[in-house]
Amino acid sequence: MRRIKCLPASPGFAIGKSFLLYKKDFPSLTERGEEALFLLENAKSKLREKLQLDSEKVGEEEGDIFLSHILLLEDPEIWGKVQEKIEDGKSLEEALKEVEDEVVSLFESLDDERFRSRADDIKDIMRRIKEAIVGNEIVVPEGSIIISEEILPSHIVEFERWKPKGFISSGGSPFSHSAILARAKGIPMLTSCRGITEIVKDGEILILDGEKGEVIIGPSERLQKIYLEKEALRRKEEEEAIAKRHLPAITKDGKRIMVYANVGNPEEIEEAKEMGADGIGIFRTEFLLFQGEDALRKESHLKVYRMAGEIFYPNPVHIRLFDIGADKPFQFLNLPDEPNPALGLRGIRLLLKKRELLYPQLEAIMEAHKEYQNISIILPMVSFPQEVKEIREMVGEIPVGIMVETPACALSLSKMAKFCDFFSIGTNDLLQYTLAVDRAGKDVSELYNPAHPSLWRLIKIAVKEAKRYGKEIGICGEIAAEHAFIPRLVRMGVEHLSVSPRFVPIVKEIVRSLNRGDGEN
Amino acid sequence: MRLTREDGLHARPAAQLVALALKYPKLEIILEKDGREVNGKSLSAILTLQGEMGDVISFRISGEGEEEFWENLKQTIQGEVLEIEKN
Repeated sequence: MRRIKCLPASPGFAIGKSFLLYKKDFPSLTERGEEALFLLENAKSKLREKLQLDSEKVGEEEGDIFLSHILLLEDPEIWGKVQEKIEDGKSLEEALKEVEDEVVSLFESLDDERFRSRADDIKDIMRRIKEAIVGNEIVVPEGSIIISEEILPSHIVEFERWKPKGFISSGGSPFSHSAILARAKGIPMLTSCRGITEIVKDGEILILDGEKGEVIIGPSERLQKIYLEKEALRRKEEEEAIAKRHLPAITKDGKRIMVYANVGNPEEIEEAKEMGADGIGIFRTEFLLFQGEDALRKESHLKVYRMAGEIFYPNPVHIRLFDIGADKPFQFLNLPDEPNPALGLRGIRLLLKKRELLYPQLEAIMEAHKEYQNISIILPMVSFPQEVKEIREMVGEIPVGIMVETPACALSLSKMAKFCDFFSIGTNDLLQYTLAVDRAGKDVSELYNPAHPSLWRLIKIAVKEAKRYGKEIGICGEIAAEHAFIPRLVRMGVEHLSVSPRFVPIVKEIVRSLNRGDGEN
Repeated sequence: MRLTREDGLHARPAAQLVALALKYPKLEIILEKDGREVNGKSLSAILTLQGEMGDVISFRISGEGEEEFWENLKQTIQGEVLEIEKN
């Protein structure tokens, strides 16, 4: 038995036999000149039809992925270059290969992962063109776990009829189109599984753990049984969760945990309501800044705050003040450049320095609060009690909450408590500041580990202090939606979990399966 | 235009733009960002511009259907993706 760590790209568990998708050897396309151009045009129109059919088979979001393939098939840059090369005397094979390499290496040199991963789409369209020219197909045994150096979007759609149990790629990324498709189809997938194509033999039994991000090669029968049960349970839970999404989340021993939603625009507020959220844990308001100078007028805020207040009345809506710093591209604000924006003028620090940014937002919240008393304020990036005190003095009776995102804040709740009404621990930033690890940092992101004991000690201290002062405390980072962490958070005594709207039903269902105990763990 | 979506000129908005551009075979559409120009009908080229939230991308359009393309671009893409400041 051997385990390999990888990145989870689509959740779920699978047990099945491996199917190694070798890089297919195409017969060499030696045609040149007119003949090559004719074969190419012919293949393009065949593929055009096939893509249309494929795109009708999938839903709207996945249809978008096929739209980008259809558009790449019409891409004047790509096919213009291929044609040029053929006209220069290259064979069809050489022309396709050279253009693919050129375009792919251009994509791979981009700095942004989300754009870089589009290189897969180029490889995919080239592979499909070659397939359309030679016309051969792969047969996959039903129920396999398909393994390849890369899993392309078309693999996922084409292999659907073989009912694959999962996909694993040695390269790839959880941001790729293939990963989006796998998630949409509910097929577990892992990426960045280094060396998997060399380690695993064809037909070996594997377990794919899409939650931990792990492949287990040659698992014992006992382990297989455990995983079968895990998967059955997961499916059952998912169905029950959706059916019960509008019911409260109450632990077995009778404690209600509020499951809020984190939202970033008006559409998500409606989605949160539809998914059964008990309130809005964090309403990120930065989307308003895209209006430019208008964001400095109270009226621009008022409408959306009222809407949020009304939709969720009488449940809480925590409006987070602008959380920005020098790394955000809002030219109209003229923020000075800083060598280290994460430790610079950001969040509440910036708002207290730039009052023209702070006042319209506070005024709008105060006005909306008159109509909807469920509206409250939550402050980003607090490190010093003075910051909370200043806001408290400005807003009077409106409830004020604090995002606990810095170790300083987590360790000094007792100093903050007298100025505020509730706390929400923003574990994403808190972990980043505790470990001094940028989770988006290419070379350090693997050090970003939410299970690190230092984070949990800070949470424990913060929860204890909040309770001592009788203030509500909850969690609003990604760990609040993770099955592995929720039991521990609930046992520690957190009172709310705030997650993306789509996770609300499952988080509620997980809470219902737990015993909270005495909240001292 | 200024990109106002958090995911910038990413797969979906870029595809919407190219899908529209391809409907105007007699129109030449050039996109420019930070001095780099690309063909507005080439999805691969537009993606390499890496249009991020807050970036400004300018258009140069010439040929048949100019006005109509511009109107359609505003209708299909503005609001969701872009705020067109002025041409």
